[in-house]
Amino acid sequence: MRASLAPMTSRSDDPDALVAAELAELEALAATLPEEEIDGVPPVQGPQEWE
Amino acid sequence: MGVSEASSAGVRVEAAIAATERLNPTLNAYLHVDIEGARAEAAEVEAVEAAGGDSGPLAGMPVCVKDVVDVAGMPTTAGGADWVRHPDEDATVVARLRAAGAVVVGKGNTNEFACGIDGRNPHKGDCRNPWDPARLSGGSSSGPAAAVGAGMADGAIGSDTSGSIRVPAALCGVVGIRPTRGFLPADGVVPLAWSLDAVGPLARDVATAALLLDVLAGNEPAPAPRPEVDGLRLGMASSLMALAEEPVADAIDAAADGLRAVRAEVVDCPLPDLDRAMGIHRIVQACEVAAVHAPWFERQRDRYAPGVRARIEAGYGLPAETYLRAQRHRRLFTRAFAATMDGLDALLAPASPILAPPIEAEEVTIRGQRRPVRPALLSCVAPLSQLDCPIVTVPAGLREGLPVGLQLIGRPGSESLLLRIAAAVESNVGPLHPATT
Repeated sequence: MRASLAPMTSRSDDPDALVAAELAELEALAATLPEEEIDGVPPVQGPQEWE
Repeated sequence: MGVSEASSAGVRVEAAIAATERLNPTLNAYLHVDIEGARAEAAEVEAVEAAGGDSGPLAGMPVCVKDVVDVAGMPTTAGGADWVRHPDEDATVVARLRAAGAVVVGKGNTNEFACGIDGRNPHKGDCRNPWDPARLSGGSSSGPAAAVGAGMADGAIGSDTSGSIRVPAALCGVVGIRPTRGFLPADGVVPLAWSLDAVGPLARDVATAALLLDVLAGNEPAPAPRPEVDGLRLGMASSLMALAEEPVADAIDAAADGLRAVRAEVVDCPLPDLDRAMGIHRIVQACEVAAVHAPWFERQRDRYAPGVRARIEAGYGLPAETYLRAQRHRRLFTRAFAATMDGLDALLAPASPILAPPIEAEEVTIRGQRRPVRPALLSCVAPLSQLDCPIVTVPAGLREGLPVGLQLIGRPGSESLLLRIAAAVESNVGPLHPATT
């Protein structure tokens, strides 16, 4: 099946609105990363060696 | 089409210059070209060889350097509106290329500050696809991929944070390597997000890409990768295949069949939570790009394209705890992914789930679902950027006259294994040559 084009969508051209929308998306994503799953897990700092 | 390695430096560089003069006005792959400089460097290579000297393993290879990487004597603009620096020294990766005899033709187009996946740039002009200039090249290493694909260079340096080598390599029909993170030095490279960035080569074929990788790493060039996959056990990333439109999935399946025919085993392999991995990626990138741009962001805020500004500025709104939590979840995802690969030598996956879409398209329909182009292009690559592992993109064939790219994902340090698999894929498909060149 060939990817077909949909009509152009309208997007806000207001930069401040775009920033707010992006931040809201990131905050929603952060809410999907629960604290309880990472007890004792250190953050990635340098390149990771697979354990 | 490029000129063979057996040609003299002058012939190879003149072929690249001729292709550039003919095609760059359409493709906009180069933002800056130094034709006289390239001719002078080619003449130096020829003079060394005429005197019986050795100019190095890349003698006379014309190369394109993404315009986030410093080349002495050429401006570094990072594709930004007004941002520019004039380096006196080459980035280490460029110095290594030149020491090996390569000739820098110019600086390749990029999304603004490498912040994008489509190859579009409102400040410098969009880069266009050599297979069809009405279509996206992919990005952000858009210029390097298009230049190599169009024969305007035989090799290139790009950078990959979310998929910025892999996606343009796929859409332009060339080989691209995102090496193990940290394998290549990143000094003299404008960062996008430090803990995700990887510098890497692009080339028309696997042997050239492998040679470039050795040179960029400062290693003695190894023999060209042999297409030997007998006995390897490979996983097909079924959850990424499910994201791909049918022509892409068909080409990837055909490449897998080709590997089976030379006695590799290919089995289905489900992956850990890719949606969560994408969330981790976006948070980490947003925080790090905000930090990178902090020294000049307030002064330049209004000069960014609105979408790029939003991706940078949103990072200032996230607390440090959120960044660290994402980096802790990143480690968990990497552990889960490594466990998934237990018993497998490498994974196969599409690099882009779609063929190169028309340049002005904002949405595509994949298996009946409408999706914005940008998230679609990121969907098979960005989740894997968390892993710090090597990933090679190799052409898997043409569908509807456009290239399809296959990702080969391996454990950290497994570049040579991935290049063997890539060579086996290439032996069935061959390097691709667009009709426009």
